[in-house]
Amino acid sequence: MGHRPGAPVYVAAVIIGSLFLLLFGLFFKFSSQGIYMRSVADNQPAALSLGVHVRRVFALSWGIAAMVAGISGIVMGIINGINVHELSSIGLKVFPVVILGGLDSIGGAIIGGLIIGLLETFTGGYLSPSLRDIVPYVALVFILLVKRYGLFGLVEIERV
Amino acid sequence: MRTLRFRPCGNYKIHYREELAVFETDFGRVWAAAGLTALFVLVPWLSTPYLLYVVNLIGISSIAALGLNILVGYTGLISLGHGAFFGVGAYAAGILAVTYGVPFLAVVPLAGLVTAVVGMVFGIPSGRLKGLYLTIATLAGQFIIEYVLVHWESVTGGTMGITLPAPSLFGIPVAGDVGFFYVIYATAAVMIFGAVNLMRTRYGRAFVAIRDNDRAAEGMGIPIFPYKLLSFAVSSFYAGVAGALWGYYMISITAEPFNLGLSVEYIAMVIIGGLGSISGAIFGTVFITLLNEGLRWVTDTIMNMGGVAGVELTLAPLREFVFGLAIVLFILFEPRGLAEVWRIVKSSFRLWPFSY
Repeated sequence: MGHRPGAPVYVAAVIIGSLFLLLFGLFFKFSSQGIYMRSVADNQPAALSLGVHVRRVFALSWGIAAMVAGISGIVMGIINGINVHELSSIGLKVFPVVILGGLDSIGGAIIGGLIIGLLETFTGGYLSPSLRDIVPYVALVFILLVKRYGLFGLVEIERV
Repeated sequence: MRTLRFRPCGNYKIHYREELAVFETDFGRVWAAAGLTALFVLVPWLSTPYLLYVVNLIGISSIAALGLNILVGYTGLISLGHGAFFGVGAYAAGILAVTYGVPFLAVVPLAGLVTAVVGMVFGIPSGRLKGLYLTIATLAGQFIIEYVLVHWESVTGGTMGITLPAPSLFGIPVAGDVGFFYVIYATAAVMIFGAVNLMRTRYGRAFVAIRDNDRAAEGMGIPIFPYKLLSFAVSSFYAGVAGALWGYYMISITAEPFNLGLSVEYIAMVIIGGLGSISGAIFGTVFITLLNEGLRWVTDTIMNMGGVAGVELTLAPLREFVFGLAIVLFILFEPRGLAEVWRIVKSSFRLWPFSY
C-alpha cells in the first residue's frame, strides 16, 4: 500500500518467491522425499506397497505447506500490513489459482497466479472494484469447462 | 388388522420389495405415527417462544440439509454453494410475493423451482469435473450468486433487502412462532416423505450407482450427466423451499446470511449427521443448530458474568473453534455420523443380551 513501485520490499518478495519456486521444483524432481510425495499423490496404495512411509509423507507435506504459507504471510505482512478479517478471504483466493494452473503443477501455480492476479487488478481498475472478487471465479469456471484438470494439471485416465 | 410383526433376528428377506420397505416392522409405523402426533400436538404448546424459534430453525435447516444430503451423500457430488441456493430461494420468494403478488401456497414451490433451475446452471460443471475441481467450481457458484444478490439492485433491492408480506394459508393468516411451526413442519414432513421415496425409485438408485462408480454406472446404461444435473436440481429445490420458508419466517431478508459460512454449515450438518442417510441429515441439523445456540448461550453468559474489557474479542472465535472441533472429532471417531450412532444404539438394544 504505502510503497512506491520498485521499492526493496517488492524486490525481496520477487526474490523470495522465485527462490522457493526453484527450491520446490528441484525438491519434487530430485530429492527422495519429493519423489515419495509425488508417488503418494499419484497412487496411495501403490506407494504404500512399495515401502513409502505414507504417514510421514502426509506429516511432512502438511508441515511444508504450513511453512511456505507462513513465509508468504510474512512477505505479505511486510508489503500490505495484516488485518485479521482479510486473512480468510486470502486463503480462499488460493484455490482458483491452484485449480486454474492444475493441482499438481508448480509452473501452473505461477501462471495461474499471474492470470488471476492480473485479472483481478484489471477488473478492479477498469470495470468496477466490486467485480474484482468474483471475476477470478467466473474465469475459472469457464476454463475448467474447457480444460477439466486446469491448464497444466495431469490428465487422469479413468478406467472402471 | 394384521398382527404386529417384530424384527427378525437375521436377514430373511425373500423379495426385493421387502428390501425397499420404508418401515421394516409395524412397530416402526406405529412409532412414526406416535412421534409425528407428539411433534404436532405437544411441542408447540410445551415450548417457550425461544425454544419454538430454535425448533423452527431446525425444521427449516433440516429441509435444506436433506437436499444437500441427496447431492453429497447419495450422488457423491459436492456443493459449496448450498447456502447461496438457500438464499436464492429466499430472494425468489421475496420477489414473487412482493413484485408479483403470488400467494404463499404457490410461492414456496415456485421458489423451489426457480432455485432448482439456478442449481442446474451451477451444476453444469459436474458433467466434466470431479473431486477438488468440482468443489472449487461450486465455490465459484457461491461467490457469483452472492455477488448477484447484492449488486442486482433493481430486482433484489441490493443491501436494503426485501421485506416479505405476512403469509396466509387458505385465508388464515400464518403468524407467530406456532403458526410457522405448523407450516414449517408440515412442509418438512412432505419433503422428507419425498426424499425417502425418491431413493426407492429408479432415480434414487441411479444416484447411488453414480456415487459408487460413475464410469461403471455409465456402462450400465445410466446417462450420468442428466442424472447429475437432476441431483443438483432436486438438491437445490430443497434448498429453495427451505429458503422461501426462512424468508417468510424472518420477514426481512438481506444477502448477508447466505455466505460461504452457511454453505460450510450445511456441509457440516450432512457430514456429522451421516452421508447417505435421510435421518442423518435431520440428526446433523439438530446437532449443529443446538450446538450453535448452545455456544451462543455459553458465550453470552460468560460475557455477562465477567466485566473484563475485551472479553468478547477473545470469546467470539470460541464458537467457530468448537464448531470446527466437533466436525474434526466426528470425522475421526464416527465417520459415518450420528445416523450410524443411532443404528448402533438401536441394534444393541435389540440384540441385548446376546449380541452375536
